[in-house]
Amino acid sequence: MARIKLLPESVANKIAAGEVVERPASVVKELIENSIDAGATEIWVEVRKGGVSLVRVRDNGCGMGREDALLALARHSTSKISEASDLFCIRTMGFRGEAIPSIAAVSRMELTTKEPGALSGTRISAEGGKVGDVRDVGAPDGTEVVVRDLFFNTPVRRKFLRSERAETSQIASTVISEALSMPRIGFTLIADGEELIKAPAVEKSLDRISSLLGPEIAKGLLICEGKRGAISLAGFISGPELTRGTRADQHFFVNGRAVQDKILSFAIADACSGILPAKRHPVAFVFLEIDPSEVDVNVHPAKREVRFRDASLVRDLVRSALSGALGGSGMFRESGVSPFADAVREPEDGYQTKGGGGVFERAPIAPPTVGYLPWEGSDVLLDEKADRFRPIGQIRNLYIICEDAEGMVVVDQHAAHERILFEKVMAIHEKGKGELQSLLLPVSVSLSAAEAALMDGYRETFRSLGLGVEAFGKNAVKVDHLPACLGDVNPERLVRDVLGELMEEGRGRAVRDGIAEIVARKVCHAAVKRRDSLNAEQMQKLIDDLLKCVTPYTCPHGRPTMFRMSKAELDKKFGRT
Amino acid sequence: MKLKCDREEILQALQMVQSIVSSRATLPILSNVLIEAGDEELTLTTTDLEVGMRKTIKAKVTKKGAITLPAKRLLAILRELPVSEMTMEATDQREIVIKYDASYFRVLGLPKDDFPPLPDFLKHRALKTPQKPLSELIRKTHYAISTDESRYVLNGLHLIFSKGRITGVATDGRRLALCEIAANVPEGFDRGIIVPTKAVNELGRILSGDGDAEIFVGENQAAFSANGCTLVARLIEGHFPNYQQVVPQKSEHKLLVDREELLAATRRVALLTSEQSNSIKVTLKKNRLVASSNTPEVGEAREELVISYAGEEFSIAFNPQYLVDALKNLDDKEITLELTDSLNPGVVRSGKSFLYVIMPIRVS
Repeated sequence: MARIKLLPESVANKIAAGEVVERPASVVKELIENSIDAGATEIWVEVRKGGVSLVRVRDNGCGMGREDALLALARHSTSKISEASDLFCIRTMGFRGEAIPSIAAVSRMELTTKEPGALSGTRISAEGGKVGDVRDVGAPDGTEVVVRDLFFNTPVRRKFLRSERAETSQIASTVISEALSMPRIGFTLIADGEELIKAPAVEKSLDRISSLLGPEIAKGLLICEGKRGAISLAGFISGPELTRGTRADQHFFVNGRAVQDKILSFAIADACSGILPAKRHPVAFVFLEIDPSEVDVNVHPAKREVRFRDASLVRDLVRSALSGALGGSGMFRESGVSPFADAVREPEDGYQTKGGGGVFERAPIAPPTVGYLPWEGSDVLLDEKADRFRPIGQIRNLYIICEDAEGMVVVDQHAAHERILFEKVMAIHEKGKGELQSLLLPVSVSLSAAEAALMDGYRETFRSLGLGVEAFGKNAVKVDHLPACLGDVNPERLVRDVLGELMEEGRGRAVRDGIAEIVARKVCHAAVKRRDSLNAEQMQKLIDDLLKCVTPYTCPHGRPTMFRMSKAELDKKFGRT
Repeated sequence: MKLKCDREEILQALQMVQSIVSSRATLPILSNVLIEAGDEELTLTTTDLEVGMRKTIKAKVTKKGAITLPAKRLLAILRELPVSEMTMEATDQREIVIKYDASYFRVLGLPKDDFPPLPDFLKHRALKTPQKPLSELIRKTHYAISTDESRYVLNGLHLIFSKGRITGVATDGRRLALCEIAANVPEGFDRGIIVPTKAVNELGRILSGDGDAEIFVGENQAAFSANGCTLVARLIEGHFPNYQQVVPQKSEHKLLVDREELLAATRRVALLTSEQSNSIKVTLKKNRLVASSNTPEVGEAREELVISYAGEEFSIAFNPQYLVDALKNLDDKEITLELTDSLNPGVVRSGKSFLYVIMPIRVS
C-alpha cells in the first residue's frame, strides 16, 4: 500500500493558514494589503473580541467580478503576478495568492464585492474553506471581507491566542503600521464598537505620524533623506529628547511594505551610538524605495521580512542618512539653539550622560577570562555573608572590588543597587502599601491606540505599584503620583517604558505578577545611579543590603551582580602554582 | 602677545572662569581658556558651548594678541608660582612662555581661531539691577530645579521680567519655589526665559557685593554681567509649566512658625527616615506642631513646636528634604506655613516675596 499520499486541498490550505494566519492581526494585515492592492482610498477595519469573533475589512477599491471572486478563494490564485519571473519585481503588496483561501480555511468567511459600474455585486459565503452560498447582492463599490469565528476548526491554534486585549492591541499595531506606510489612504479601526484609530487620508507621512502617534512625537522628529544607486530613503528619526526603552516605535517600510529587519535595526543603533544614551532607542520611521528586482519579499509567508540583494549598501544608506540627520547642525534641542553652533559643531556635547571618552575610558581592560560563578544553592555563603565581604575600592565608579576569605569578589554596583531596589519595590507591592509622592501638575502621557488598549487593562496594576495613572481622554493617561522612593524621575518616561516593555514582553505571562515585575524593574531602573563614586561606608552598605536580598546574585534583568576569583585562580594567573 | 600682570589677580580671574571647563570635554579646545591681551587689560574666556564665562583684569600689555591654553594646567602653574608678578609672552600662535626671575614655563596651547566665539551682547539693551537681591533670588529658588535630564524645561530657573519686578520660579514637579524681587525693568524687556542649571549655579558664584548686575536677553541666549565678569548662557527652549495654577488660592490654616526651630526639628526627625520610607509627618494639634517619623526597622522620632493653632487636629506628610531645602535658604525669623488637609499642597511663605509649594506624600 502506498504510504505517501497527496494531501487533500483542504489540509494543504490549513497548513498554509498556519503560516500566513498566525493570529487575528495577520488576517487584518492580509486583508488590508489586498485592499491597498485594489487601489482603495479608504479602508475600514472592524474587529470584535480581539478579532476572534469578527474581523471586517471594507474598502472602496476596484472590487471583483463574480468569476474573479470565486477564483480568489482558490489557493495560489492571484491577479498580481502571472509568471515566476514576476516574483523578482513585485510591486504589489500581495502576490502569493494564499491569503484569502488560507483565511477562509480557518474561519467562516463572507466576501462581498462589486466592481464600479457593475449593476450588482457578488456575495460568497465559505466555511472552513468550503464555498457555500454564492449570490448577487446590492453592494457599494469595493470589497468587504467578513471573517467570523477565526480558528473555529483549529482549536489548538485558538488556544495559543493571547488575551482579547493583547490581540486587539496587536491589531491596532498592525493597522498603525499599514497606515504609516500609506498616508494617502484613509484608515479607520473600530474595536468592539469603539473607534480606536481614525486616520484621514493626508499627503505627507509626517501628518500621518502625527495623527496616529500624536503631535508630540511628530514634533520631536528630524527629517532624514538619502540616496544610493537605485535605493532612496526618506524618513524621520527622533533626537535625544524622544527616546524609548524598546525598539517598538521603529518602523521600516520597503516599497510601502511594513517589514521587520535586523539589518535596518542595527543600522539605526549604529547611527545613534554615541548620540543617544545607551539602551535607549529612537523613534524612527524609515521608508525605503528600492528597485523591486533588488529586494526579495518572498522570504516569509506573512511577508514580514525581506532580503536585500546588497544588504551592506542598504545598511550604509540608512546609517548615513540617519546619522546625518542626528548630527546635522544644531540638532540638540531644535535647530540653531546653540549660540556657538556656528563655530563648533558638536552634537554630543550637550549630552552629559554619555561618558566622554578620555584615554582611560578606552584603555583595554583584561578580557574576562574567568566566568562568573552562579553560586546556585551556595547556602554556606548566604549564612556567613556580610561581614566576610570587605570592600577595597571602586573601578571606574562601576564595579566594587571586595575581598573575602576565598579570594576576590567583584560587584557590579549598578546591578546590585537595582536588585536591592527591586526587592524593596516588590515588597511594597506585596504589602499593598507604600508612600506616594503627589505631583504638582499631573503629567499627561499621550499614547498610541495600541498602547492605550493595553493600558486600559493594566491601570489597576500600575496603581497598586504606586504609579497613579488615570484615563485622560481617549488616547492619553494622566499621572498624578509616583512611589516616593523614586526621587526625581520623569513620570512620562517611566510610564512609557513600562508600556513599551509590556508590548514586547506581555505575551503569555501570568499577567498580574508579570506586570508587577516589569513595573518594579522599570521603577528601580529609573532610580538607580550608575556612575557614582562611593565611599567605603556606602560600598559596605550596598553590599550588606545586597546580601540581604532574596536572590542577591543576579539583577532583576538576570545579569550577574557579582563574580568571584578565588585565591587559587589569582595564584594561577601569576604563575604561583 | 606680551604682557606683565599680577599673579594673584590672574589667578583669581582664572579660578572664576575655569569652573565651567569640563575635564571630560569632547573637543580639546573646550579644555582651554582663551587669553586675549588688549589695551591695558587681559580677558580670560571659557566655554562648554552651553555656558560661556569671561573675566577682564588689568595688565601691562606691551604687545596685543591672543592664545588659548589648557585651563586646569595653567591654573596649577599659577597656584604654584612663588612671585607676585610675572610676564607672559606668546612665541607663536600656540605657545606661550611665562617668566619670572630666571625661571620660565613654556606652555603649549591652541590658536585662538579654534575657540568658539561668545555671542556679543553689547548691542542688546541691558537691565540693570542690584546684585544682592538677584543673588538672593537664586539662592532661594535654585534647589527646586529638576535634576531629571529628560524633562529639560524643568532643568533650569524660569526668570520672568515684568513691570517693576523679576520673578524666579523653579520646580521639579513635586515642589515649587518662587521668589520675586523689585527691579527697574525697562519698557519692552518683558519676557520669560529658562536659564539652565549650570548657568544658574555660575551666576550665583559671580554675584557678590553691592554693585549692579546687568542682564541682556537675546533670542536663544542671555548674558549676565557683574564685577567684571560676564556669563553667557544658552537658554532652554520650551514652555515652562504654568506655575500660577499650582499655587493654592486659599489655605484653611495659616501658622506663624519660627523658621530655625522648624528647620532643626525637621532635620532631627528626618534622621529616622530611610530611603524607602522617606517622609515625616507634620501634625497640628491645639497650639502644637508635632513633627514625627516612624520607620519600620529604624525607629521613630518626635519633636514638638509651640505655635498658635486652634483648629481640628490633622496630619500631613512631606519629604523632609523638601522642607529643609526651603527653610535653610531663607533669612526671616518667622515663616508662614499654610496647610489645608493631608491631601492638599502645603505652602511656605516668607515675607511678600517668597512662596514655596510642596506636594504631600500619601500613604497608600
